[in-house]
Amino acid sequence: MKKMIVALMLFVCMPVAHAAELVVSDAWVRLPPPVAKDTAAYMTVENRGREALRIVGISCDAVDAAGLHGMRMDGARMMMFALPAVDIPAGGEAIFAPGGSHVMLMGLHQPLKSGERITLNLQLSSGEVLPVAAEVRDMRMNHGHHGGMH
Amino acid sequence: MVAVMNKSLVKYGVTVLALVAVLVVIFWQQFAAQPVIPSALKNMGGDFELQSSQGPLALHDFRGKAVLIYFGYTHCPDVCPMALGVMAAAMQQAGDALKHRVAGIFISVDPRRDTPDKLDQYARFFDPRIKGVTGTPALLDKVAAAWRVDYAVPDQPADASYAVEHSTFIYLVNPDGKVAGLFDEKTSAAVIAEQLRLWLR
Ligand SMILES: [Cu+2]
Repeated sequence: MKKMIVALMLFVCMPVAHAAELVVSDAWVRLPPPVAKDTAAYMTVENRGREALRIVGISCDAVDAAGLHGMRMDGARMMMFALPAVDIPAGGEAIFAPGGSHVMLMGLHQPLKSGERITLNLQLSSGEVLPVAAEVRDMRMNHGHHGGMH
Repeated sequence: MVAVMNKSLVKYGVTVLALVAVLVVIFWQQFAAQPVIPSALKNMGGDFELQSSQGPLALHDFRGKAVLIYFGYTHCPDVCPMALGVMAAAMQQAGDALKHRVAGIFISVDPRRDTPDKLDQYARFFDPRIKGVTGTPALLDKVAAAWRVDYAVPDQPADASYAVEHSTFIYLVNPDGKVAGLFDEKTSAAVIAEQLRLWLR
């Protein structure tokens, strides 16, 4: 009983992490060939608060379905898998980048245009929703001698 | 006095000759040596004939060209467009003089969703010299085995948005139709462009 009260007190006293403590930078969407209906979005999500934060999902009105995906090698095969949640420790960050974790966008309602912005809604475990404007980028000419993607 | 002068002249002459010899060797290595196929790649690859939007397309149609080949699928959101982007950039960086001697082939292992017409539109977005092809699952299995491609398409997907697992190599095929280099979507385009130039000189 005592234990339960302590646990309950901890729960009540635990400050709720807020979306205001999340700083999203470099949010962008890969421009797919016009014939393709699926693409990926990327961003860096920084947790500037003092509590860990958890992203539990993502939605986007421009597509049929959006989700958080991870990527791993299975032997020589690259495979994608759905991430049920992404935890960001206090002071830490979650990076969604080409070749790694990404926001999967499936079933684009209409072809994207380079430079346009679409909104991604990050859903937090607190119930809050953080809208993020992601710029559509045409990556075809971004393979200069540095071999980089920004 | 005369003897001393002659001695230093001889020394000078030997030095110059040695320098010339070094320069000739460097020049030879840079401009004349045939690139060598790494032995690990020797039992990989081989001819194939698959379907493009323009009809059958075989690897032997590309003899005399340096060809970049990638196996993937168009619903791939991340790695395939990265790889095709790197291939296109490498072909462009190979230079104008080699414009008609470089080519690309994108082989879809997902023929259920990727028709030859769709593949043609998909591949040309990156570079019109990249041809999109596919075939029957049985033929793709055969080609994949010869090319050491590992992939898995779900047999009975729940819906049309399934993912395909696949290996992510970018193959460089030399003008004789042999696999001569292996890269992936993280390789810099400049590195691949240099290899294209080496095989075409
Ligand atoms: Cu994905």
